[in-house]
Amino acid sequence: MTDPGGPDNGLESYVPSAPEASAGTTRAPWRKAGIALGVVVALVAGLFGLAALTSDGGEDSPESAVQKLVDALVNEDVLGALEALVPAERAVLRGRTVELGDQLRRLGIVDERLDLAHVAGADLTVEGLELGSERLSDDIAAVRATKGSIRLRVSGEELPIGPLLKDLVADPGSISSPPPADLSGGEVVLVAVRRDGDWFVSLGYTAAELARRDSGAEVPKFGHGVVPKGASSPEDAVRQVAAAAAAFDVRRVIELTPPGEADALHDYAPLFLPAADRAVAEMRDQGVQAEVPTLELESGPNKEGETRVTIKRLTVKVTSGQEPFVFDYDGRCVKIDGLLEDGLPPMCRDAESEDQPFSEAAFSYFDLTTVERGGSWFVSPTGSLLDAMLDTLRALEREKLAEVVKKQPYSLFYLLYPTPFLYGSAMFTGGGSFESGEETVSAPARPMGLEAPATSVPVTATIEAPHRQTAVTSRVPAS
Amino acid sequence: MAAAGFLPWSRTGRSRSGLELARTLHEVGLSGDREARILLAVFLFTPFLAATVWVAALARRRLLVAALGAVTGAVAVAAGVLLRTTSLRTAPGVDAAVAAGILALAGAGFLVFRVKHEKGVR
Repeated sequence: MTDPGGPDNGLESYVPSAPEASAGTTRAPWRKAGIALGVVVALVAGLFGLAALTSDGGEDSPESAVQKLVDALVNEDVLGALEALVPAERAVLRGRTVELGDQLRRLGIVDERLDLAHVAGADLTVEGLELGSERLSDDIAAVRATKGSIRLRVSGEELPIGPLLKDLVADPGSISSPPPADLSGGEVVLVAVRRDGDWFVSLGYTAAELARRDSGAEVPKFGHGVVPKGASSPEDAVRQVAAAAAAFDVRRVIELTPPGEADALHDYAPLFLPAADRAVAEMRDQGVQAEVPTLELESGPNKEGETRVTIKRLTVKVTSGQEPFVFDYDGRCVKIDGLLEDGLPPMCRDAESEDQPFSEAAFSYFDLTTVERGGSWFVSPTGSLLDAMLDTLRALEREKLAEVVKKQPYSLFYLLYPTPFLYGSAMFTGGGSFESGEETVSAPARPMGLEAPATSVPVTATIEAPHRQTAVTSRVPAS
Repeated sequence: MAAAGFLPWSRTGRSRSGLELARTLHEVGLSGDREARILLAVFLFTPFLAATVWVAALARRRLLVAALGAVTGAVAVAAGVLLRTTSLRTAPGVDAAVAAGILALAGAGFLVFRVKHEKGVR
């Protein structure tokens, strides 16, 4: 049209002035080259954008995935650490991790200096790290450190300890750095899994694999474990979990956990299901029966866009030939009959007292988080637990918490180490107890018939507080 | 404009460029609500948009340059402001991107004004 230096390419839209036109004679080849270069750059940039949109951030080998996580931890890079995790696990942790930090800051458990991008007063260094991997299957590898050392330097006075904890920690300056640890023994194992061709670190597989190694069981046949089978709605998923629990059907409970998040549980379940089935058979022989005559539910979205199912009414009746044990929740109060001869006083969500200072917060555990996968609904164990913890923290007021903790320092540990965690850890450690002054909460050893690790030893962490002495005891494997 | 995306935008343990940060936030699913997710997804295409501005400029399509420049500038400004509202530690690249975005918007406005003015003169 107007380009005197070449044929019309259809891009021109205005008539240049005479000097421009004559200059165009010499500029045209450069302009064409510039346009061609621009098109190439645009194509490359477009491909970069598309690749970034479709990438999950995985690595090309198990060792690289673990190295990425280690680098992120050393750099105190929360985003990098999340990026190194398998997408299904990071989906559960991401938003909740950020909110946990916000809530701990709001309540004064940590101070304003807590920054997920930099933990003041703690400096982790890893030197000379060399990694080796052992394939457990085509898509699962156990990565172990074969060389290197790790050191954590702690400066107690710089740690972001909030005003609430400052009373409990007599002298932050006395917190000392642990000695450097040699990693060359190969005892530090992290499991990496391959998803869509990329490798990620999996916390679930790591926990399951460590438990397997500790028990001495054979490597399971990956991909041939429990097949997840969801329900038709969030409420239905919770109803089916309740029905399966009442029938002591451990396999069905596991089936109702979501693929992705609970892949490790599904794969490793065949290692403990036979023992669980034997334990259930023994219970049945002893005449133990359970039923859930009442279960009323309500559902709504949570902050993560998942569905939170709230238990509005629940009655659980367990009989074993003697007087039945009845747990009854009417939406306001929990009443337990048959556990103690004298019975237990009811605990009500709106009746806080000195003995039950956080009764409202404790009721967060009546909610379960459900997720939709492939058109079916599943109960998310990690999401349920973390949401309950967050609900508990959200329900607390800073001033009231400070007042209660001043009188009863141990109450903080009840909140941060709730009973479900105690039972959860007991499953892997063979039993545990939480002792505080005259009170003791015990988790049964070997629930579901699991054998306790033969080499386990009790470890007691004692926290010296100005008002009370609190001890947390748990059995952990000697290794 | 394109260079601003490659400057450091955040220090979350380590320094990340704007594009790297947008990619990481998108990957880990921390890009926030629907609008923020769309914004960060579009931000990943700012080098592409900048290159198309370059091609349009060489092809002397001034209105196209103005339109693409305005979109690129608006995305950069919005992404910078969005980052500022989060708890992430931001780095100078955010300010550079916001400044470049405002310049791009102003430049686009000026170009449109000039084209319309020239048409009016004719």
